[in-house]
Amino acid sequence: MILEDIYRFWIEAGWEKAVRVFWYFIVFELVRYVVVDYFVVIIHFLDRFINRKKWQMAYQQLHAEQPLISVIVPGKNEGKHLFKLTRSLAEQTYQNFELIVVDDGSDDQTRIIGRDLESIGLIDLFISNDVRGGKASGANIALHFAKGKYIVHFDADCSFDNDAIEKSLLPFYYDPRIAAVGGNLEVRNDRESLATTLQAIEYLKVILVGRMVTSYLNIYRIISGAFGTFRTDVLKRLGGWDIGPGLDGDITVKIRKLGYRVHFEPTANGLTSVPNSFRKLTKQRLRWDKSIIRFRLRKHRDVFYPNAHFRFINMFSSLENIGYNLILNLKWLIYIFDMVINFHHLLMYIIPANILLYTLANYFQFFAIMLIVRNPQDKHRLFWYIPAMVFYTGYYLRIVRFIAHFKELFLRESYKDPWNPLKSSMKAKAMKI
Amino acid sequence: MNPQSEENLVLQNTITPFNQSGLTFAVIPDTYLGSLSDLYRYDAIVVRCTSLMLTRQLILSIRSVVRNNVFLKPLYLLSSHNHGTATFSLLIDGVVRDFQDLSTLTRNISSLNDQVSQIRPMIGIEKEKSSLIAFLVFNHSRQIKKMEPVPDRESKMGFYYPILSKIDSIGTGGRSSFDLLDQAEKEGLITGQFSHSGYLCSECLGGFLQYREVCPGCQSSDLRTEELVHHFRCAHVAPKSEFSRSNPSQPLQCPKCHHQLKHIGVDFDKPSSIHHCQQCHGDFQNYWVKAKCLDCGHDQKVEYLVKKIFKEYELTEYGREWIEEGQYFTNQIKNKMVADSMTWDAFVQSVGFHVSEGKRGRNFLVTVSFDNYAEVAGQIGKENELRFLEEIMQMIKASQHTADIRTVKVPHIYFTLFSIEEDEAEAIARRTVFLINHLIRDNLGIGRNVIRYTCEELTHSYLQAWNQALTMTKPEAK
Repeated sequence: MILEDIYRFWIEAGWEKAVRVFWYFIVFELVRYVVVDYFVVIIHFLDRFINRKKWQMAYQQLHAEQPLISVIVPGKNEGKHLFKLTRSLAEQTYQNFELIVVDDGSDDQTRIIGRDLESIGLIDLFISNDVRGGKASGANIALHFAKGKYIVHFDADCSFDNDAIEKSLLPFYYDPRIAAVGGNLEVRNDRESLATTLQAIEYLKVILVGRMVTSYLNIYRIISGAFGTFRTDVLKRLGGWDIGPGLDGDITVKIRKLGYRVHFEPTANGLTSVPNSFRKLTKQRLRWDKSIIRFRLRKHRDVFYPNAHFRFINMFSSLENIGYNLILNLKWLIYIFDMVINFHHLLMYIIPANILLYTLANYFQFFAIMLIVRNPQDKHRLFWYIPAMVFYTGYYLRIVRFIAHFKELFLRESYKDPWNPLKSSMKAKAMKI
Repeated sequence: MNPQSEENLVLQNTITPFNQSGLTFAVIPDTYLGSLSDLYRYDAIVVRCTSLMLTRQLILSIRSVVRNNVFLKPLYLLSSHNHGTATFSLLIDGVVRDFQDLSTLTRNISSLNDQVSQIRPMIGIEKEKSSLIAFLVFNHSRQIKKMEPVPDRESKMGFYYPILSKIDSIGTGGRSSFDLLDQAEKEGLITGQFSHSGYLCSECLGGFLQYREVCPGCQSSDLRTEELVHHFRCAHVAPKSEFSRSNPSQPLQCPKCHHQLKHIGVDFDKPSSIHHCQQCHGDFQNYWVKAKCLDCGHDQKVEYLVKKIFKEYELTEYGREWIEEGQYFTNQIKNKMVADSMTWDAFVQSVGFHVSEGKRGRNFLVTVSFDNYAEVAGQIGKENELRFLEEIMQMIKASQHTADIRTVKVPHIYFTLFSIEEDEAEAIARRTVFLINHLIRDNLGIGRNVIRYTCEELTHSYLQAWNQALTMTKPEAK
């Protein structure tokens, strides 16, 4: 009965009114995340098909050269994941790698486990620090001792498809301008809770599709620390990673600034564990969202300056990131005010219709993803959770993002984040970096 | 002989008798290489020391003649030094500066000889066991309460137990002496307390090892160790040398951001250190510690070294009685009525009779011993044990002359080879043992040789000591 009323209302209201009320969805969400994204995805696959011989040549070149790869795994208290990680690596189709694990001042059994695995040859170099230095310092130690031509940066709690390393190396041989390759990540613990299930859908949309699109448009701006492959010479030229949080995005921008291309490889797949409660998820997302302000707006604001190193594509990449994360978030707030002030008497028709529109868009994206994702049968169960995504991405993540932006813009809270050691954060704050 | 001819005593490579205060001393130069079996004739022994090494060798040799009337003899060192810390100091009864000093020792010597005479002679006991008994008897005769391991550079493991380790061939093995002590402790003869512990070569049980850190990649010990420096400002981490400047007095400088590192804890810290192999250029934090055995050259990770606990032992009350009453004879398993063999007493008497007759040719006693008779007996079962021994007896009988005799004293079998040359006796003994081992292997499925043998000449002196042993041995349990 209610649905019938809503349906009748919008039929009678006509297109003009619908566009006026749903302008935010139509102008930003539908165009950017549905129309553009899936158009680019189609183009991406066409491009792959057209250049398949070039990809084949890249494969042959890689196997002809067989370069040594350094797999680096910095982390704190990751001992419990290390054996599983070594097992995952032992299955890789590309085996000419050294594994360097850096224990960043762990206070659990990591040191003992790492030493044991090193002594039996499952880890090539295990470096254990007595004091914590932060993720960046851990990665930099590994980088210092890496002997490989390429660096593969993994998180210890991830596991990978057996061809993940090989697939992540191919782009370097496909296009010599590429200096870094991001791998695709899916959620391993998607059945653990509602929070993990919703993140599983989000990862498919944001990482698989989102990064495929930004990579194709050459505005790909964040190589996940959980799975990223880099040219060692470029990393060493940059001096490695800088202080986090947000060091993944930071290193990507630094590489882009040098004039190199950054590529997302959707066929290089890994699985990662995500926060299993909304409380933990909120903490993680606050950290991630703060880094947009700290790094895009502050540290790398020079991408907007017309200097000798100015590159339009880098500016566009940052603008797109800031626009869709920071500005659209504010616009969404404006949209809410607009609806409450101007259409408060119609909210009973607007809200359900809005939810319906977003849900339909989400289903469209989901079906499209099922066509391109690996093992789609494993993801069928996610179908039933699509309606919840409206509340997850539309409300929950937006609110978290808004809080994060506010805290970072006005309070610079990222410097207080315990994710990074206080000694480093204090120094970074003093140096305004 | 008088004290004035002292020089002659030293120069001669013979045992020279020397009378003093009614006692006869055997004076031996440390260069002496001849037989020691006649030392039983003397009241005490004096070794003239010219070289510590030679003296040590000679003393160890004397103390390893496992006959009460030799190895337990009072033994003095003729030397101008004290030798209190020498490794053989526990094996001697004192040091005299000149022959005149011997007169002051007469009471001690008599007392010691009295004590020794109360201890039963050790004849007819398997060699391994006799060494243990000798060790216990010696310490008991010298009223040494604590039998401690003595640190010794000449010993394989770095420690040795006087008497016992020598018998076990000191300097080349010494392994079974520790096993014997463990066994004696299990049997309740001695109690052991922790004294030292150490690590031994896993290959040869040598105690002299050279430890060093090595590269896990190439095993080289050519390593360089450096601290890692973490610059907080830019998160750069590298070995300290990369932050160092040409002028060492200048503060460290970050190679990444070129800022100076002035204050540890504020600008930078040192989270750990790293080792660099200068041979293979590998980097690692966890070097291997390896130990190279100076004896056999085996190079091993320290994790594989054998941990050895050296104990100090003390005789138990049971052990004391065991020694004083000669129970190590009566403890032996009763003779069985095995066909084609004699009883032990008859065997000993017959052997004595034969040798004392002084017939032509040399006579030999072959002792065949089972390594682990219990294992063999367990395999064949009680019912078949007698038949098994009889079969062996027949085998031995087949290789003997008609006049020869045999006896069984489990776990030993004795048989004679009268009027025969040494080569032939040795050949017969070896062949017989080979056949017995073969019999056991084929029928019991035991993959290794389980018996050993000795072939000793039955001389008058040997027999004399044996008879003495026989008369002192208590009758077999009824």
